[in-house]
Amino acid sequence: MTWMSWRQVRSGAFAAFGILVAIVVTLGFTGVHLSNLYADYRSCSGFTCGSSFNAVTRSYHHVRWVGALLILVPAFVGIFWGAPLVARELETGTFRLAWAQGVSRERWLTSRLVVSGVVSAVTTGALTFAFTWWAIPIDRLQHNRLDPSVFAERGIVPVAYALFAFALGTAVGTVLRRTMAAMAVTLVGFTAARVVTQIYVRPHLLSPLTKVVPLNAQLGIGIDRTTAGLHLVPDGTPKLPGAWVTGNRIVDSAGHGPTTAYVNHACQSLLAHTPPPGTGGPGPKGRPIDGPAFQAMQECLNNLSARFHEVVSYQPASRFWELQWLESAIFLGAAALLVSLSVFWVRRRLV
Amino acid sequence: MSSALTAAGLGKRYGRKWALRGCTVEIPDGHVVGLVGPNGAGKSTLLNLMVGLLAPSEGSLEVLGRRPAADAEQLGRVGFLAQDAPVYGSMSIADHLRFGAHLNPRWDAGFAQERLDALDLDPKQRAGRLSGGQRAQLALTMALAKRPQLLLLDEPVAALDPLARRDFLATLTSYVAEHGISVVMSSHLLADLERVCDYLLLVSAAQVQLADEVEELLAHHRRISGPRRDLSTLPADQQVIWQSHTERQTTAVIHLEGAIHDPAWQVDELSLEDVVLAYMGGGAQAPPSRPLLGVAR
Amino acid sequence: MIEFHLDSRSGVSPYQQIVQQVRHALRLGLLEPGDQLPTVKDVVASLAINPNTVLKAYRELEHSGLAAGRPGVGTFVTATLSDAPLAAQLPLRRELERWLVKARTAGLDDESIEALFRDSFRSASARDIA
Repeated sequence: MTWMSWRQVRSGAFAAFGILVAIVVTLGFTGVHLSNLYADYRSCSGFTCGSSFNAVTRSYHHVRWVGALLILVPAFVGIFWGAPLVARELETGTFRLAWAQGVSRERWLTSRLVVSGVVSAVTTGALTFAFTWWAIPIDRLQHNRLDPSVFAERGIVPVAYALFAFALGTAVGTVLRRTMAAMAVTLVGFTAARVVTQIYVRPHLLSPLTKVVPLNAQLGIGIDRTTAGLHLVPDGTPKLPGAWVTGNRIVDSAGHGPTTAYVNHACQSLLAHTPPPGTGGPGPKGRPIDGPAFQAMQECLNNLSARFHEVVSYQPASRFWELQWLESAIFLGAAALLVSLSVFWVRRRLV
Repeated sequence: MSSALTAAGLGKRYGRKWALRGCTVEIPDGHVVGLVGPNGAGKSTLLNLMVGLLAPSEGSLEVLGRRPAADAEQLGRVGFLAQDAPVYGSMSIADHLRFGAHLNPRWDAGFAQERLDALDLDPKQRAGRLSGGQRAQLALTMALAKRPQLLLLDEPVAALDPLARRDFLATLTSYVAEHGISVVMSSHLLADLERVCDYLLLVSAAQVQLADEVEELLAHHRRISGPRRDLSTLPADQQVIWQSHTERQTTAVIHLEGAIHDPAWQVDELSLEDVVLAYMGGGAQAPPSRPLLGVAR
Repeated sequence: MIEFHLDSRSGVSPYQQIVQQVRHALRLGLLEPGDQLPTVKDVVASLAINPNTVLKAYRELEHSGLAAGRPGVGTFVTATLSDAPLAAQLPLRRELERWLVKARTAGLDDESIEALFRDSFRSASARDIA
């Protein structure tokens, strides 16, 4: 049965391997180059540092598309290897050939899942490993591995995503029995799972740390001028190097935010300096640059900081691997559930 | 003698429609069974139930004494050729045989190769490029090379030209002659069935109407024709299956246990096709009062 | 070795056709005692018929004393049909020819003669069954 499972994915696997080898070789060459540029940057001094830095970021941007590929690969695995696995057999009627031989349906499915799963994991894993290695210099430079767009291209989560997408595709194909419909549903389902995890689950995989920061204009507090008055807006610019800011609020010690009336009262001179919206003048989120307006701003924040401060929730950079393992565990757990569903469905519900 | 199929109250439903219902029949081993009936009558359903690709909605069935697809061994004892002979289009013939060899413990590679040579097929040819007849032969080779005890065929020759059909049936009957396996074959082509089958199973309107040896059927059915008459006057051991009246003449197909003593009747023997058509309607009135089932011998 | 053929439209069952063809071959002298009849496998392969049909035909020939089976080897012809029957048939043949002349004189055409013969033959056979 193993031979048969391999034979059925052989051409797809070879195509994937071919592309993988091409990409890994590219990464190999450019990675060495990037590494050298980074070493130059590290040993730079004075004026050369600027151009050296630019050289590194330019080199990074040329091969950045591999990262985008890594985002797409799990989806491809689910759509092109997972969805047709059972659905195609059901659609073309070849299940009447495959399931009338001397092996049970469960054994057939298990073998197909294992072989295709291993190929998916190996391809995605090799690609992720190569890209993570290649991006080491740039990660050191930008120190932003927890940023959602970067997190999903590094470490081990792409492999977990790929296996999840594969399991999802197979389950959907088994239940829907139609390849095209299964591909569409898998795409939507996988995207939804990724988005939901990224926005709602990942920030809370580990309890975020919090940091209290006094209000200070230079640290990115903006004032919004609405018709009602003034409104504080935390700008969200990073104050913690490498950390992933998951929440940002302005509160007093009791946890309440400032009311518009309070801000109007505490910042009367700023109120006078900023015209209501629709009357021209500095834009809504204006960081006023003229002297008196800036003074008024600082005075306003001084007044407010007597009672209010900024509370930043974040995940520190050091938690990168912990978060990677936790998120991978979730996706692999979900994959296992979907596999069980597929096996159950094939055994019980397809007859 | 063991039985190829034992069904008790077997039924299969799709949604609210019953494809097969109340099927209670016992078909002995060692026969080539023809499974006939109108389209949508439940023939395909019965075959798929027997190979375990469908599960009954009610009732039970045993194939060669065991539940279908109960385990790998049972799967190995039953060979199946589905309608339209599905094959993997992108895989070569040699790949298909290798597939069979890996998945069937009793695979006879020598036989498979012999068949390939006899059919003059190139093993490297992709299965998707084969003609209908060649695909059917490939599927038959695979089903036979696993050395089954029972072979199930779902309309295997429906889409084949006459020569391909003859070759297919010759292969099948030769194998039966040499290995004595049991076969259940569904088909529309009654002329073919008459030469190849020695047992008949007629399924019509989701019910089993006939289950008996062909010899017995032919011995116990006659066509009678004579002057117009009311057929309720026939003796008790003669049952009308089909009848037709004109002004002056009455013709009927009857099932009889004994002989016809009434000299007014002209009595003709029937071909299998005639018998089946009579049971399937053929412009009839008065369907049989009860379905006729053969006794297991 | 003779070859069989099947006429699917003749209304005669396959096994009877085989029996008839063997008897015919014997009458014509195409088969002689000691000749082997085609094996079941060969007949089945060339005609695509059920093996039991051939077995039944061969059994009937054995019953009639025309053939005998040798296990593991095949079925062999043991008698002929070409002699006595023809001789015994001569008086019958003459009677038939006289009847035919009468029928033609009565004005029957070929079809009517055949129909008359078939009808009588059937009734007579039916009386035999009854």
